[in-house]
This record gives sequence, C-alpha cells and structure tokens, in this order.
Amino acid sequence: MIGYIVRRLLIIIPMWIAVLFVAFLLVHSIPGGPFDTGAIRSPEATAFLEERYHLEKPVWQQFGLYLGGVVQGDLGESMVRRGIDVSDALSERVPVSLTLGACGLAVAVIIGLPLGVLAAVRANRLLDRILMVSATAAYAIPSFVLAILLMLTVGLRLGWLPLGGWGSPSQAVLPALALGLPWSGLLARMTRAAMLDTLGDDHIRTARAKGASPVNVVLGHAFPNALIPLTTVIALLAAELIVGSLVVEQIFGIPGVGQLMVSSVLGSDYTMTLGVVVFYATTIFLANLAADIGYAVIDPRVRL
Amino acid sequence: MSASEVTGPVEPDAAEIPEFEASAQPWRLAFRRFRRNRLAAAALVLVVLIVLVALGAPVIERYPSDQIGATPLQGPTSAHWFGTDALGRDIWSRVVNGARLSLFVGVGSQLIAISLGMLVGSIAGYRGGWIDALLMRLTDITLSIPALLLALLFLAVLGSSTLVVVLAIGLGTWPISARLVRSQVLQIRSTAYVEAARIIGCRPTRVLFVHVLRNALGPVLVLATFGIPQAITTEAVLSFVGLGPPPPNPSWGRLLADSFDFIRTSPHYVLFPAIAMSLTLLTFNFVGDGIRDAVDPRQRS
Repeated sequence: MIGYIVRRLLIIIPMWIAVLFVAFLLVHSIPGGPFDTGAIRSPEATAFLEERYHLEKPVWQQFGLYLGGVVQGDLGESMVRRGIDVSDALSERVPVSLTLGACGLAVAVIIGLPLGVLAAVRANRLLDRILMVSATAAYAIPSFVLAILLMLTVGLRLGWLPLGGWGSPSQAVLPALALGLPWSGLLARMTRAAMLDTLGDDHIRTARAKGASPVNVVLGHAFPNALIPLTTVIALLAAELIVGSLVVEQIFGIPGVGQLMVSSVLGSDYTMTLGVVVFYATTIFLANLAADIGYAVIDPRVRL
Repeated sequence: MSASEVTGPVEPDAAEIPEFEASAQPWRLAFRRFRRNRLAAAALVLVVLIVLVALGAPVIERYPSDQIGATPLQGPTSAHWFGTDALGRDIWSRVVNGARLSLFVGVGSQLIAISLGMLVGSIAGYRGGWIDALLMRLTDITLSIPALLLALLFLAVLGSSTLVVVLAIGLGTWPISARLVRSQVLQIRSTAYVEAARIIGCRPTRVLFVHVLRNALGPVLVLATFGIPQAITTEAVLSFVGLGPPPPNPSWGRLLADSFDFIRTSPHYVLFPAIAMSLTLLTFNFVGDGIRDAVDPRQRS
C-alpha cells in the first residue's frame, strides 16, 4: 500500500511541477508588467523593483526560485497590493471556496445518488425515463446560467432567499444549488449505470434466491458495490466543484478564491494569479491522488 | 449493389442482401436509430432552428443591435418583443445577434480543439513509442489545468478579441479529443481490415486517414456536440468577468453581464438572454445524447 502511494507520488509530483511551469510561463508572458502604471519612476527605482521580484533573472531561474518558495508555503508578495502576501490572501479565501465546494458536493450527492438508484431499480420504465431526461437537462444547464435563473426565480420572484453575499447559511443555499445541481445530474446517470452493472451480478441473484427483501437486495447488496466506482467520481468532482466555484462566486459576490483569480488576472497581479493557479493545480492533483488511493482502500479486489 | 446485379453460379440468399447493404452504411443506420429517439430528433430540429436564427440574424433582427434611442429598460411590447436595455437598444435584436457570436465561438473553438486533438491523438496512437509518451504527457499537463483557467490566462496574454476567445477556448479543450482519438486509433489499428490495407500496400497516411480515422469519426462527433455548449458557456463566463469579445459585439455572455446589473429592477432584461442560452445548451446536449446512442448502440445503458 505504502509502496503504491509512493509510486503514485513519483508520477504526480513531476506532473505537478510541469503544470506549475506552464502556468508560470503563461503568467510571465502577460504583456504590460505590473509596474507599467504610467507613473514616472527613476531607473534606480525600476531596477530596485525588478530585483525585488527577481524580474531581471532568466525565466528558468525565476521559476526555480518560485518553486523553492512554493514548497515552503511562500507564494511571494502581491505585485499590486504592496505588503500583502499571496499566501495570506489565499488562506483568507480558501476556506470560503472550500465551504462552498463542500455544500455544492453535498447537493450533488444527496440528490444524485438516491435518484440514480431509483432510476436503476425502475430501469427502462417511465420513472427511469423521466429521471434520466431530467438528469441530462440538469447537467446541460451549467452553474453560470443556473445561478442567474435561480436568482431570478427563487431569489427575486419568490423572494425566499438572499441574492448574494456570504456569511449566513441562507446566503449559501442558492450558490450551493447552482454549483451542485448540474453535477447531481451527472452523478445520477453514473449511479444508475453502476447500479445496473452490479444488479446483474451473480451475488445479487444469490441474495434474491435466498429470499432477501427487494430493499435489502438493492441497498444492502448492490449499492455498496456500486459505490466503489462512484467514490472515484466523487473525489474528482470535489476538485471540479472547488474550481467551478469561480463562476458562482463571481455571480453571488462571494469572497472566495475564484473572485481573487478574476481580480488578479484583470489587475495583472502576476504573483497573485500564479498563486491561485498553484492552489487550483494542487487541489486537482490531491483529488486525483485521493481518488486513486481511495479506490485501492475501498475495493479489496484491487491488488496493488 | 442490388439483387439483380448479382450473377454467378452461387445465387446468394435474397434475405441476406439488404442486411449486407445496411452494414455497408453505418452512418445511414446510425441516422435511422437517431430518428427513432423522438427527444433527440426534436432537439435537432431546434438546433437547426437556432443555427438558422444565428445565420439569418441580419434579417431577423428588427433594429440594428447597437441602435440606441428607444425608452430604456422597457418591458416587452409589440415594438420591442423582449423590451429594451439600459441604452434603449432592442433586446430581441441583441439576443438574435448574440446567437450568431455565441455559436461562432462554440463551433469555431471546437473545430480548433477537434483538429488539434485529432492531429495529436492520431500521431500518438499510430506512431506509439516515445512520441506517444511525449504527446500524452503534454495532454496530461494541459488537462490538469481547468479549461476556464487556461482560457483566462491565454486571454490575459493575448488580449481579447473574438478570434482570441475562439483560440483560447479551443486550446483549452483539445486534450480531451486527443485522448479519445488516440484510444480509438489504438483500437482500430489492430483490426484485421487495417492490417489487410497495410498488406496490400497502402501508404501509412492513406491507412491512417482512410481506414483508421474515418472509423473514429463517430465518437469524435459526439464529443464535438457536447463540446459546443461547453464552449458557449466558457465564452459566456469569460464575457461575464470582462474578458470576452469586445463590444459592440453582443455575445450572450456579454448580454448577461450587461443585464446582470439590472437584475432587481428589470428582470426581463436578464431573463431573455438566459432563456436563449439555456434552450441552446439543452438542445445541444439532447442531440449529443441521441448521437451517442445512435453511433454506438453497444454503449447504450
């Protein structure tokens, strides 16, 4: 097991560094340096600033310095808001995005899993058809459009929930729904497929033959097995939701990482943009690792 | 081939001929299966309608989409079917023109993504070895950065114009099709008919294009059908944060961004672009579902 984790890490870490390098190159080729503000500055002051942010060194050296900092949790200093550390700005906002992502994931799982099971049980009947068409429809409308539609209907017309902001639980409901509902459609489809796979297995036939109740067959015998492939999906979904919250944060005015990303790109704040990309890339890699390891831990049939 | 043309000492069983004919035309068969799926067929009609609206925007619009001057923020009237925006522009005309730009970005970016993906995927799958390993690491790296983030960074680097938006979205989504094409090529490469083509002396390029890639087109078409609505969404998000195609071109994303400020006072302004976009995304997804079931009936769950 430990050998397996080490092997995964040996594959994942170089990939992670490569992704960081690509992001680093992209961010550094953004035209218009952060100090081209139009302010008149002496050559000495410019040289001082460039030295302070290592801008005078070759790119690969800059990347080496940066990577060294990242490993120690130091993402540098914001280039626009003097004196603000990128890590501090991130640590302020990461909990917000994580909370939002967790709420979205909860919506997706609580709605997607039971409906998927229900559809599988009633496979190819009317209820299944309706559920699957709704699942496709839910998946087709992305968080961005859904957020606006929810605001218009539940927020404005019915006036049940606040339109934006962050802090109270009621303010989290609409963003969580907008974030989670599209993925609940995907999860429902995948749950149905996984359930149909296991419902055809021999051990299900045995359980039925020995007289287990239909509920017990579905929930006790089939569902746990169907969950095995789904855990991987859910782990990857977690990363998708944290990154996807960018849009929802923007619409509902939630002070999360996504908002930071947008404002730093628009304000050509190199170090801040890069810091956010590092956060996203790391989240995705950790989720992938968790999916791989989780699969091996949960399914005793997987031999490492 | 019809039954009367078949001559010779062994008369084939008449019942077998139509079946043989059918299997020679997998696309016609797929289309027949597609048509039987009523939801997908209805969605296809709507998609065609939306495309026609987009193409015919200059005729269908009732005012030039940037003509100002009417009473601003009117609700729907007979003169302005969808009402007017904050500058007194006709929202119907802007939504219709938005279809044009949004679909252009959606289709254009997917053409880029699919061509690049087919190129990379087929080279990787067909050549194998270190080229394959190198290209696949490259796709893995690109896949690890969310398409939206990549597009944001590309736009920050290249500045925003319609073509750059198309390029940025295309460059963010090609790895998916590269992977798909590679796996298809690997599968098809080892089939008997490809081996036969090689044995009778077809050049490698002919084998790849005529015998391998042509048979990988089905799944690629499915991917593109799902890719277009996703690209439309990405463009809308980019426009919403202010990095989309610059004005006066109204994409649906820009319409939503503009109207969002008035969501409390003039909800109709937000509603119409939102509905237009939802309808388009829904129909493309249902068509995609239908094509997937039709092209590969074995995958049908």
